[in-house]
Amino acid sequence: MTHSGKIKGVFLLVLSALVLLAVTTTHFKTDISAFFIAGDNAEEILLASEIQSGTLSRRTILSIGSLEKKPPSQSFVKQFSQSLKAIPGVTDVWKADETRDAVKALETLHLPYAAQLYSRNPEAELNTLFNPQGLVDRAAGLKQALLSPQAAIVKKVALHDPLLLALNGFKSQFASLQATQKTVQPYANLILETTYSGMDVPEQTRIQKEIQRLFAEQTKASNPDGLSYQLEMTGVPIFAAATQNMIQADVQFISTFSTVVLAVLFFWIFRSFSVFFWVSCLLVAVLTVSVLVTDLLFGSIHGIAMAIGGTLAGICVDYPLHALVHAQAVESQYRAKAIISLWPGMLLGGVTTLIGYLALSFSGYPGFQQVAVFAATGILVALLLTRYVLPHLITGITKTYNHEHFTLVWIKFCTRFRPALLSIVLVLAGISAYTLSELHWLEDLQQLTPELDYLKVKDAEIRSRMLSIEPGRFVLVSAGDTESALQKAEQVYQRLDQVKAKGELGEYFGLYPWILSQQQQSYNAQLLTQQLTPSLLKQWQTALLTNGLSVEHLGQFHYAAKQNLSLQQVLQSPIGHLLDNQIIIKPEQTLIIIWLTEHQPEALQSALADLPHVQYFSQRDLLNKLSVSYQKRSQLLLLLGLSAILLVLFIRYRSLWKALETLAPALLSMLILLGIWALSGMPLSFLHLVGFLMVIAICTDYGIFYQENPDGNIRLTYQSIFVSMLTNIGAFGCLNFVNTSTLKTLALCVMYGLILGFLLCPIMIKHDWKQDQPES
Amino acid sequence: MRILFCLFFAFLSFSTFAKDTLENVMARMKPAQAISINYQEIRKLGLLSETWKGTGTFYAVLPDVMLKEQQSPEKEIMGIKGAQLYYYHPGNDQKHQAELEDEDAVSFQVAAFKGLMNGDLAFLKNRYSLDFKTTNKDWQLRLTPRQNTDSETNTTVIMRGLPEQVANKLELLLADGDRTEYTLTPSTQGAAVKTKVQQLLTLLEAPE
Repeated sequence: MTHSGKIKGVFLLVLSALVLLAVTTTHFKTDISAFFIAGDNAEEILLASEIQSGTLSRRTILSIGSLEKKPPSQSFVKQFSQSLKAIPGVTDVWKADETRDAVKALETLHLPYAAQLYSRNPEAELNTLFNPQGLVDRAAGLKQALLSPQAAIVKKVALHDPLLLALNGFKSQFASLQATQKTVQPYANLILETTYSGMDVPEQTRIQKEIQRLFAEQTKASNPDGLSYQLEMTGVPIFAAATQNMIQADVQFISTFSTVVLAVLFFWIFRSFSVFFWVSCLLVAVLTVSVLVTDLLFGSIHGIAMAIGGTLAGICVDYPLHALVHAQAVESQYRAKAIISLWPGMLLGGVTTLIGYLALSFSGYPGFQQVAVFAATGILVALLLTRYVLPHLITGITKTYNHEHFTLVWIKFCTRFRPALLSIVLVLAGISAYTLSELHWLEDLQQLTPELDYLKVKDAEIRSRMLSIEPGRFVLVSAGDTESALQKAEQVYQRLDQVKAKGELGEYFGLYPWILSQQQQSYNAQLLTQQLTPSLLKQWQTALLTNGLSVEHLGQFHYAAKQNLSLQQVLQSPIGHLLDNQIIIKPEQTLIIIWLTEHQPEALQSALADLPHVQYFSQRDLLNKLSVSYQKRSQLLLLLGLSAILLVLFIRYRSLWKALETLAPALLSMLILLGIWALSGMPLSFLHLVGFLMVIAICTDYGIFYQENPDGNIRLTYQSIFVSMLTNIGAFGCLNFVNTSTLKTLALCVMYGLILGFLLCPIMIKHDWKQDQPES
Repeated sequence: MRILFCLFFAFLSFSTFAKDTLENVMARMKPAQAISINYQEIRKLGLLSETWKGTGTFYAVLPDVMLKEQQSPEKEIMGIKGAQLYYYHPGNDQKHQAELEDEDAVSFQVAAFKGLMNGDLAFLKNRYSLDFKTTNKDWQLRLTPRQNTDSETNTTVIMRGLPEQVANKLELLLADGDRTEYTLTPSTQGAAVKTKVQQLLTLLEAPE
């Protein structure tokens, strides 16, 4: 076996081992929010992590309706919810408008703590109640309640708490619920909670399939009203599954389609399938090592990091392609030498690309740090393989060299009309620079996924059948410990009451009446005990008699001081699940979320402005704010990256002019592209930034190769640039046929940029024909 | 002779009230159309020092609309439509709406009334043990909840009526001794009741 044969064998063996290792050990993540969301402060970071894996993410809303638009029967809903509870991984299922648990909690948990929990404003409450008229009114209310449909619960409360203090908070809570509940809807809405994170797509997909199966089974088996039942679902798990399925389908499509396209291109260009095979092996090696290194450093690799990093294949394939075009033009014994002569240019190209990707990693998007590591590893491996392994893989390829390649026509045309073409390019660049002020950024991250609009519409529809709480906007209270957070929340309730009184807020839902801070509870109990005098008791007994109520059963006060109710007790009770979307407790921090119905954001913001660690919060605004801050940072870093690339080129060429000339095709193609974008009125997103970065990275390589013209044959050099441009366009062109619009955006950006960069090389970089060596 | 006649008529009348079986009482109870029944209500509750009295009208449009319009001592309307419970107290301007839960006291009683009004014997037998008795003066149907440990829903319902007549008394007995008694007088039937029910439902369903 020849030396090259041995190297081929070892290379294939090592490659197989690496692929096996990557397939068996890599941890993939597909949670889109983990890629984009991080947060600038502790509250936002904690909230972001909750959005990704907290209780809120683990809930699916199931809405049962019927074609006939009639409410489903209770027995059907009850039976369905029972069967849902039996699905492995489902922790609980309950009706969205469930109040029974709340009533039970009042009876079993809160009743003994009436003295502690009767009010958030005890002075005012007791002033209104503890006077002869107040007591008569309360006794009249008690009598009416005892004769009402709620008599059963009122009776139980009154025997322990004749003043019905325990009902105070609940009364307002039920009134608020009543006010925000939609009028009778022909739907029953269930909340289903799982042990798995909403982003755990395989488990959530299994559960969703099981839900659908059970529903279909039950509608078939028992249909008491003869209605045609329908099930609709929404929630983080539904979005996550849909997103992942879409990305998966796209990745499968791209990997198949782009392989075919590249194979056809390679055969057309090199007339050899073995070239395609070996270059593909090199690319597989590059991507496999990148995956392994990223996984090793981050503990997992995100699907989007892989997708963006995978486009790096477009850059990495440039090095072997340049090497191949140059090597194939000479006899096999000179090929290693031809590739070595390209090394300085390739290395320079690798370093400039690396600078661009490193700049991107500091943009703030958590996922881009992975992309940077992925890219850096890929570039390094691609360079080393091209330099040390490729020469041994292409020994058997026949020499082909097209003397009259059509790219030569463009070089000659550019040489002949260079001043005119330069003027045109500069005018275009000037116009583009002028229009840059028209550029605007995508303000709403949700616009990035229009293909999921059907889910967003469904989500809005289902939520509109429930309480009219705004799901993404709330007041966020944070403190170092739970007690401080509860105290702060109590200050916020007072402010919200004021805003409500002005009509600028409909209703709000905090943690009261379920719990008050220990401080407030102790104060309430102390104030009540002080005012429960014998004369007050006498007044109460008179009030009872006046209203025909039993003094024997209701004429004594049993509000003896006892321990306060703890938050832990509440969270461990059956109503715990009603509250865990309102409080997040971590060792170092507690967040309380106060949900709001329709409101005026400015009014709330100004009412809460002076309260530290209290903020009016809009989930969408947070994401978009983060997006804007990432974009600003990305722009700055892109400029810094460009300066660093210029510096590297200056060090290499010892001439600022030459460095600028080399960078010009990349810079101008980006500038003109930006101009086109500005004129089109389309918004820019971080994906365009990635696209521009790739255009700069690849086109800088074109500039370097054209400038260096390593073997003194500009036709061959430009031909190799053409080949790399063509394969890149082939690969990126495939992205135009996928479902994910973000990938289409990226593809469009890169394709046009590369074509421009390729065409600009002979215009912007002056070639000295005298230095061209005679063709071999 | 006179005694013989008396005995004869006594036998005849016995044979008449002997016709009151559970099945035909249930069939009689089921109205053919929308119906209204005037009532007088007496409540004896442990937490009240005196007996409470009220008057008003029941309305039923089968299968799933039932309303209770209390006229005195103060106006109050309570209604059931399907699984929704409505309550309106014009004096206090209090209005509530809630979904009936299977396990709560109100829906337990509502289910019993619905079962009685719709003549659904199978449903009633499933939830209650039924004790039907007749005497020469009246018939009595006693519904005692089966295996019920929850005091909230442990309500015994007793209906009474004159021989071959619909019920004229309805009694609710709670486990804690609280007792409600209705004296019933059939009022009107048909389209007029339906219109009235619609008016009341509109009032109950209207937002506050």
